[in-house]
This record gives sequence, structure tokens and C-alpha cells, in this order.
Amino acid sequence: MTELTWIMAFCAVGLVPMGWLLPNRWQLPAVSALTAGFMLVFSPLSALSLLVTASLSYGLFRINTMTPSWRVILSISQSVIVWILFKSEWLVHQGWQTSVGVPLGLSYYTFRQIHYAIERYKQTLPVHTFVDYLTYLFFLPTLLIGPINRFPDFYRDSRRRRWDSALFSAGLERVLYGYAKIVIIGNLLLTDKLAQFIHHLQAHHPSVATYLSVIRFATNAYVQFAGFSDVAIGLSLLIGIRVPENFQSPFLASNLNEFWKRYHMSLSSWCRDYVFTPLLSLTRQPVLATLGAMLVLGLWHEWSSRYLVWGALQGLGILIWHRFKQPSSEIILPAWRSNIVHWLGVLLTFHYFCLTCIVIQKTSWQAVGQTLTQLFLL
Amino acid sequence: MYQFLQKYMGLKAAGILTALWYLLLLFLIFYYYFLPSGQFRYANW
Amino acid sequence: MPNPLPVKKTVPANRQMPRVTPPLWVWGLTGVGALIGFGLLYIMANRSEKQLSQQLATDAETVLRREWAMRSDSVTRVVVLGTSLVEYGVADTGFFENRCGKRIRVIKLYRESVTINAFTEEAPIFKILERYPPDILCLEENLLVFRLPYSLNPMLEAVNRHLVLQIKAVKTQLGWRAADPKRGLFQGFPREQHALNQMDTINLATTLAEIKKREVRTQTELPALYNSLQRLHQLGTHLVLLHFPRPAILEAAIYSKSRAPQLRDLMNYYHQRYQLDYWQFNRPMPFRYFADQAHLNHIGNPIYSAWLADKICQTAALPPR
Repeated sequence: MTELTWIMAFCAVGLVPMGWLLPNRWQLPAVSALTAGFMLVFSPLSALSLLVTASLSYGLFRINTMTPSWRVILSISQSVIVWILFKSEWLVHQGWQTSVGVPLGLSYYTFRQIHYAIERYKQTLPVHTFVDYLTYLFFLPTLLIGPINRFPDFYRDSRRRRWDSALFSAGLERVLYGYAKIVIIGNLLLTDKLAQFIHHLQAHHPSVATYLSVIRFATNAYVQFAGFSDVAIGLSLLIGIRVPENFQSPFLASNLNEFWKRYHMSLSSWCRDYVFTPLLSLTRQPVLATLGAMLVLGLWHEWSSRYLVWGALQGLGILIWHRFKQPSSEIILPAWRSNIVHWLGVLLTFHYFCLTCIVIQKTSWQAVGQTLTQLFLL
Repeated sequence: MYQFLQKYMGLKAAGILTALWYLLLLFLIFYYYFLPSGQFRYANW
Repeated sequence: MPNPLPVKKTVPANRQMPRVTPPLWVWGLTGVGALIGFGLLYIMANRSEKQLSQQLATDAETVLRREWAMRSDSVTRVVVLGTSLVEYGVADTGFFENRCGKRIRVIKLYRESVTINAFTEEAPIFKILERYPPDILCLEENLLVFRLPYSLNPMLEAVNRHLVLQIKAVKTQLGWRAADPKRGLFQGFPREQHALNQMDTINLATTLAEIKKREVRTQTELPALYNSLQRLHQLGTHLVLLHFPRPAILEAAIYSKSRAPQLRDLMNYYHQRYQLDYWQFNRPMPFRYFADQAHLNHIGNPIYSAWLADKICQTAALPPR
């Protein structure tokens, strides 16, 4: 069984009943304790690394002798160091992760901790205790599969949560639809059937086959990830917590800028709030801020050259769009032409995204080159 | 699904049809569960 | 580029109104339906598993009796026993006869995705073999050497396998799919062959994780089998532990350094105790020789079978045809 199935089974028998049947004040702490237990069984390293980074990112703010700027800098750096340590390509090549393993959900909780540190520095957070913070981080539904939810929202919901059968039902439906998305659309249609089809095409139409396999990679990534997010959102609803949406039909976006407002929204809005906006206000250079935000967005997946290039390509795409877009108020086109332009935009955005994904699909730059030559020269 | 059915038929009938629809989905999920999957890509973020 | 559809600002999740959702009794009904459905399937699957075991025993006996009826002293009989790796990897007997130019019969006895129990406890295959002792008995190495976690959830998988078979039968009956070509007992390839390419290897990480979990067997855990091996050895059967190749990347994981000493000890023990030889196919095989991550295809099969034929010819002092 996959990790996701284990999480679902564990939520069904442990988390959800405990989250409602225990006395009110023990409900969420019990959920966190069970989450910690789950992590201890699956990978003790994950439990340890989450506990240590969480304690440090909270505890550093309690040290009165330090200035607030030092607290936030230290708090962010400790999370980031652990994250880079486990996610960097160079260290993977050294081979020690294969023996030690990578903590589960590392990228997600690192970014949650950075968000927490910055908001705490800005003093925008509600009054809370360490236990509240741990409850936010040790929350199994969103631990492994995102979205990168924000602490104030989580905290508000954890205070307000009441049993609501409509919400529970919505959660169950969300989990079912999400899982169906993963298994039926992702695994059956895109992974299995399309692969067979591509395989049959390979001999006589290699270019078409390559084109389809490029499309397949990007769409499969989206469908699977959206399914995962649905399951996470649904499971959270079962416990009475609403977490933000992560996708909003991204492939219908008509430009890359809009695409990134609809694709992995929790990550892109994180990058907007904590990279783009600060960089923009510091440097007054929108180009730099956009590139910076998209590079971080790329590196979030893995600290490697291919994700760096992938992020840069996303940033480049957005910049190109900014350079050539026309303010919509200037020209008023007839409806049909505006529609055509819109759908051309959708097509272009989709293909640009799929093409950039070749970089992360292939394991070597040579393979990327080969794919590109197959696509365009043959 | 339920919202849609509810408009055109009684609550009970809509509920039973929805349950059947869920069962169909569950069946399909179980039937294709052991296919090779592309899931591992997201397992370690 | 104008953008006629303005980006809708999303309502924060906490303030969204839930849609009309089905009342909880609908979920209760679904749950009960799923329990009943799964329960029935489970019972049916159990029954069909038992039937399959019986079928295996009857089929094995039929094939062996037929072979022994044809017996003359100038024929060397080789039985290859194992899982689907045998089914895909070993060619039919004609191939071996042509390759060696001598009189050999190679009999494949296999059952898909099973452990050694399928041949000892669930179906008395070894007992049947004692009645018809072959000259050479090749045992799939996996069965004796590793404790295979064929699946983390055997019950679910058995039910699923049963379901897939049922649906296939229904589809064939309705004419939605062509019936499988008729094959002789324990002969030929099971289905249409295709070659793996890098694109299809998406599941590699999962397989590697499964391989890591495999444990090497201890020297004492299969007493019933050891007795049978001893008796077969006394009856003059040459016992062989036969290695089946997997794609090179997986081979490296299966025979990793951390396992090597344990494996070597076990092989040595088997050799001393039952004169069990180990035939290892040592040539790296690329993905395109395989139909999936474990099973050889129409390209890989002849390569492997040719090697096996040569091994058999060397071992058995065969009279010319």
C-alpha cells in the first residue's frame, strides 16, 4: 500500500474518531499525538526533525536577550539549513540520504515554519501557545501532501470547530473524488493507457510520441497532485479544519502569470508574500522580484540545478508575458476575436508549462536535449 | 452529484442514487488500485 | 494579450459556504454496500484460490504422467518449478531440443505470484514430483532464498486478482474482448508481449522499496520442503537453484552488498546439504528485454533459454537424438 493509503486508513480508524469523541480540549492534541506516533512508526527521522525544527522556530522567539531581527534570522536559518541538507542534489549524489532517508513532508513544513517566523516577527499572529503551534505542524492530513496552510487560519479554525455533518459529508466526498482522480485518471488513463498508446506510436511517429509523453508528464503531475490535495483537504474537513484550495483549473489559465495563481496556489502565494513582495519593496525591481520568487518556487521541490532552471524558466515566461501584454482597456476587440485570443493564450500557456517540465522529467541534460531534438527537428 | 439529483427527485431517491454512484467509484478505485502508479513523485516533498 | 476572463479572487477557505452535500445516511449506505460487496468478493476469491491450487495439482500430475508415459531411457527430463518468472522466462521444450540437438524434455510447472507454500502446503506438488522424479529439477531461486513480500496486503490483492479475472471473463462472454489464445498446459507466453522502455519505468522507486524489504531466508524455516528435497536427491534427481534475471538496476538492488554474505552462506548450506547447485545467469539485461519489471519478453526469453539450454546440455550426459 502506498503512504497515502496508510494515511487514509490511519485517519479513518484513529485521527477522525479521536478528533471528535474525546473531551473537547483533548481532541486536537490527540490528533497531533497520533500524527507523531504515525511518523515515529513510518520514519522516526521525520518525527525527530519536525520536532527539533518546530521547537527551535518557536523557542528562539522566547529568548529575551536577542533582538527580534536576530530571532527571525536564526529561526528561519535553522529550518532552511535542515531543508537544504536533505533536499540538495549534491548531497543526494554523496549518497547519504539513501541510507538515512528524507524526512516526510520536509518541504511543506519548512515553508510553514518560515511563514510562522516572519509573521511572528511582524507580530501579526494571534496569542497562542507552543501546543497550538505543534498542533498546526503535526497535522497528518496536510503534513505529507500540503497545501502549505497558514497558521492564523488554522488557529482560528481549531478554536471555532464544531461538529457539522454537512462539512463531514463534504470531506468524505472530497476524499473519494480525490482518490478517484489519482487512481482512475492519473494511474489508469494517464500512466497506464496513455503509456501503451505512446508505445504503439513510438515506432512510426516518434515525434508525436515524444510530444505526447511530454504532455503526459505534465498533466499526470497535475492530476495526481490535485488528487492528493483533494484528499488532504477532505481529510482535514473530516477533522473540522478547512485548509485552503491548492488548484483552480490551472490549465485553463490564459497566461503564465494567471497559471501560477491557479497552480499549487498555496506555494505560489507563499512565494508572493515572502519572496516577491519583500524583494520588490527592497529593490524596487519587479524583474528581480519575479525571478527570485520563481526560483524559490522551483527550489522548493528540490535543491537541484534542474529545478533551478525550471523555476527560472517559469520566471522568464512571466516576464515575457509582462513585456508583451497590452492593457486590456486600450484595445477593445470584438467578442469572437477576444475569445480566440483567449484560447490561444490558454494553449500557449499550457504548452509552455509542459515544455518547461521536460527539464524536471529527464534525469540528465543530455536526455533533455534529446527530447527537444526529437520534438522539433524530426 | 447529490445537489443535482436532489433537484429532480425526492431526497430518498437522490440519496440512494448518490450512494450507488459512490459505490461505483469505490469499485473502480479498488479495481484499478494495483496498477502501476506515478504517485511516488509526490511522496517525499 | 488581453485577458477577458479576469482572475477570480478566491474566497478564503474558512469563509466558503459548503455546497449541498448528501446527508450522512447516504455514506452509511455506501459503507454497508462496500462491506457487503467486499465480503462477498472475499469469499468468492478464497474459494477460487482453493480451486486454483487444486487445479495446479491436477494439471501438474497430468503433465508429469503424460511425460512419464512417453518415457524412454534415452530422454533427460528437466522440470523447472516456480512462479510467473518461469512462465515468461523459459521457452517451450522444443527450443531446448533444437538448441542441444539431443533428446530433452523441459517441463515448466508454475503458478503466478505465489510463495513456496503454493507447492508444498496448498498443493502437494513436491509429493507428485517424488512420484515422478525428474533427472534435473530447477527451482526458482526466489522461492527458496528470499522471504518475498509479494504484496503488503495479500488479502486485498487476492480479492483484486479474482475480481480482475471475473471481469475479464464477463467481457469475453459479452464479446468485448478477444478470448485469450488457447495454450497447452504450462506452455508458451501468457499474453501479448511488449518491450519496456524508460518511459514505462515510472514504478521503479516502489519496486526498489519492495526489494529492500525482502529478507534472506534462514536455514531452517522450510522443513517440509527440505524433506522433499532430501528424498528427491536420494531418488537421483539433480537439484538446481535457478536464477532468473531482472533488469540490471533491480538486480543490483536484489543482490546488494549488505545481503551478499547471508546469501552466500545460505547457498553454501543448500549445496552441502542437498547438493543443490546454483546456476546464475550473469549478464546484465536492459529494460527492453522485459515485458514489465520482472518478466522476460519475446526478446529476453530466447536469450535466457539459450543459456539455460547450454547449462542443461553441459550438466546432463545426454545421448544424441
